[in-house]
Amino acid sequence: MSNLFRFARVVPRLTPRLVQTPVFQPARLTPITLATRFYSAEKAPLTPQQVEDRVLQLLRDFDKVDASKLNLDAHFINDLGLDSLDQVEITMALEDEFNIEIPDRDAEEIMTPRQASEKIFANKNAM
Amino acid sequence: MPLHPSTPSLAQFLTRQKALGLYRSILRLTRHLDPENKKFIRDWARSDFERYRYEVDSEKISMLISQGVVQLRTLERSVSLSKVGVS
Repeated sequence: MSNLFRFARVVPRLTPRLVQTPVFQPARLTPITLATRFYSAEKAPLTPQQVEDRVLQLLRDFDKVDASKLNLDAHFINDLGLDSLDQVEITMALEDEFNIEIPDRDAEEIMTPRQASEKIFANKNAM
Repeated sequence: MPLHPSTPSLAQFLTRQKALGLYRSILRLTRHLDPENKKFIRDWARSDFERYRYEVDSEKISMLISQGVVQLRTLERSVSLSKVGVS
């Protein structure tokens, strides 16, 4: 933010004195357009395989999960012996891992690693 | 098809959603705290939920949830204050 302001302060001084500078002069907008160009440097989107691997790894690291029982369709409560509070903790950890926000409605539905992976893969902001 | 005997009533179901929603809000609130404080507050919240895991009195549960919401508001204020201090 402060970087943009720095530009904004420098640019008007470069414009010729004769020109009456309107408030929104195109030249003044130039630094901002330059800044937005950084968005083009995006990373490649995640593949379903990558999402699944990271979901499973996250669950393996969750100390209450028995890794030997873990598979894509293992139900958190029925198969892995977790409870509803653990389920909330897991969906929250997934949000942190993929830098996304899962709406509460969706989060409540996530009961297997596969369901989690599908929800995350469908989220374009996941990274 | 008859419902399974352990199927919760609508009121029980809604209470459960509220309790889980409260827990989710606490976790969300503590997300960006430093690891030490985060662990402390989360463990504390979890142990409070654990303490009443087998509570069946619906009035008591509703009261506990209301208390939890009040504590969440207090926590929100202290977290927003600490954020001002950091940035």
